[in-house]
Amino acid sequence: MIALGEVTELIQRKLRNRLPDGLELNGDTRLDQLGLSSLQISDIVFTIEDRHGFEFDPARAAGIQTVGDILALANEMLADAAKTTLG
Amino acid sequence: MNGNEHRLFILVASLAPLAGVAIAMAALWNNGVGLSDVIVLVVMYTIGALGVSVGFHRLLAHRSFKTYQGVSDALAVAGTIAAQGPPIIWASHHRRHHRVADKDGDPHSPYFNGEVGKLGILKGLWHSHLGWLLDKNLTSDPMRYCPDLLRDKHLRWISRHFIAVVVAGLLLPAALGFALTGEPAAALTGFLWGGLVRVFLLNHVTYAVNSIGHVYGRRRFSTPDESRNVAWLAIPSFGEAWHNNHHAFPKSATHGMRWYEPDLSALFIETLRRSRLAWDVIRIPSERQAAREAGLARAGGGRFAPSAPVPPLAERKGPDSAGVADVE
Repeated sequence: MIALGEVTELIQRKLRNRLPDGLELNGDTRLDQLGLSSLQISDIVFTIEDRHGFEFDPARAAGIQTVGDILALANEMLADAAKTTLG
Repeated sequence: MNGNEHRLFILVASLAPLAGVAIAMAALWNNGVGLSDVIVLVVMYTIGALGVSVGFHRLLAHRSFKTYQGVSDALAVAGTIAAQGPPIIWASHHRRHHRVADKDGDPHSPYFNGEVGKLGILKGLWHSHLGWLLDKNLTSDPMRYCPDLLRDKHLRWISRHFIAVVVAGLLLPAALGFALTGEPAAALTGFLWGGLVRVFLLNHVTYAVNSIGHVYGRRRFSTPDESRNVAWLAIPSFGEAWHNNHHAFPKSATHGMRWYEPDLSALFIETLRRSRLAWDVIRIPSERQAAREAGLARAGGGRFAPSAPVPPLAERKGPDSAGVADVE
């Protein structure tokens, strides 16, 4: 399982700890509010893939909108990967 | 980089080379130009042009041949020094361009605002040349267009360190100038000619393929867009100016399709293949070219012709979604 903290830590690092004014970083935070480029956001998503050794379904990864979406999709993919390995 | 920073980068990356060209012209008038400057300019231009044409365009955006990771990395770095954007973003814009060329959603069509007349054409040419890059809201989502490239860790690294690579590409000609002559002044003129002047020349040649290459030139294939073959741009663009051929067969590693259509990038890819550094090079047999030419002529082309664009890579079902860009 991936925890929210891992995703927010990756985001914080990209933002160099400069969160836009009045924005709170949690599961509901929309990625387009962070002031990150599309390249930076995709870099975060695909770094998680590398770290945990699974592959996102590209169609669903492209539909990610919030921090929580990344987390939910990653954990779903991880669970699927574990099932395939066990099965 | 957010929208404002992006625009600032494009402004600096356009105006600094322009200023460099002005200084270089003044220097040329007063003292002439050293042999080392000419060498540095040709070498750096060739590296950048091969990087953009063979690397960014034919290898990364269209997957027109396969190669080793090391060769791919080298080509991606070579393209990055051209200061036209990180490889993953360059390829995202380009795949989107092919999907809806000269129709709604094309990031750089000269027909973007539907205006006609001389002024309309001029506005369109400016937009497709450089204007589109100054749009604060410009974005082609790499997650939709380039999931295959995002899976390449090295490409992500190069894309992330875009600015550092561009700066290194400006310092390299200075080092080269110094190495060739042993004189500190040659480092400065090397930076000028091999750095700033080279960026200026190559960028405007690349951008001209997007602007002129969709307005003025010959059309062999009646593609459902306005792409043109621009013969006089063929040599400086390393073959990219056979742009109508390219829109007819986007995946082809060869853009020049006749013996009289010079294509230096295709020559380079062929050399890689013969050296066993490239394989699965996609070429289009002449019968297929003739069949496409006749078929498109029957269907009728141009920007108002209907087309059924393939969905972005991430949204495709079936084997394509595994990460191979076929028509793009």
